[in-house]
Amino acid sequence: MAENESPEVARGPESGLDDQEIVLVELLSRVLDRGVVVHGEVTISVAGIDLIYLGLRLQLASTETLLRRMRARGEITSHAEPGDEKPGQ
Amino acid sequence: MSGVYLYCFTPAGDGPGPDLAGMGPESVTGIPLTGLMLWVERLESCPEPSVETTLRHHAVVKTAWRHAPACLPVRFGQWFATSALLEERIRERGPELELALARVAGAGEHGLRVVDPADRGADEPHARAAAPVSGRAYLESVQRKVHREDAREERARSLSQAVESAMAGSIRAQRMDLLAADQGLVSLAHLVGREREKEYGRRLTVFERSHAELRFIRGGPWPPYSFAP
Repeated sequence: MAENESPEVARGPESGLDDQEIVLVELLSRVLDRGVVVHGEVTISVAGIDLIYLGLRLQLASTETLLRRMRARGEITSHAEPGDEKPGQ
Repeated sequence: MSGVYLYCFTPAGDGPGPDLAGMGPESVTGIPLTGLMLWVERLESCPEPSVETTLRHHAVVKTAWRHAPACLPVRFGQWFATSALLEERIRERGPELELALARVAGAGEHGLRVVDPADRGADEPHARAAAPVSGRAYLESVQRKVHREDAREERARSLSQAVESAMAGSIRAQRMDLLAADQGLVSLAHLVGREREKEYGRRLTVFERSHAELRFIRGGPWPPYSFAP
């Protein structure tokens, strides 16, 4: 695939997410679950409920569900980051 | 009195430019400390996690990563009631963080999610429709599920090792995360030096073509979140 071509948008498995949304989930997962932690734990609020969350896996599990719902409501279309070239394609 | 929100670390001397917007009304600023530059913002409270705030956090980290020779991302949500509290925590870990920063210098993270369209996870077909008729049957079905989970995990690990081997020489490190069946087989993160990106992409294309039964979804390059301590 040429460097400037966009990959054909394909549907994911049963999750129903296309490639761009999967990439968004991958990015969100990293920002929420990776990176240096200075605090020992992070308080996360989900739907107004504070959760003391030590691993953030719960938040990650809900991220894909959240995206599916947002997409179904038309709240998101594409969140591909500009400048995210795919080298060597 | 407002607290301080931490975005990332860069080498001392590489701070944010003027008027870099973060999540709040004030600009992102830099605090030099123990050979590091802390990219911070004054915020009244820790921001609520959402797609928008997460991407805004990432936007600041990405700016640092693009302009500084090294950038060590901080996880979303690292907010401190005072600068003194933040600085005290960082001083305790100064040498560790400087070493981690050096490891990711000049590199970015590439994501690779591998999906097997034939993967149906560990659940048995019609599992919900066919309730076991005896305790023995139930235990046997649990045993079969465990075996399938083990086989699926083994396959994911084997594939990850094959990817790592194929990418050798173009990546500094690889991180693997297993996925649930409806998310894919495995999610990989690769730390790639900027000078190796073309080679990385070329090697990955060759690997993808030799595994045409699988689907590969690439992401990045991003700041190296997965390679922070």
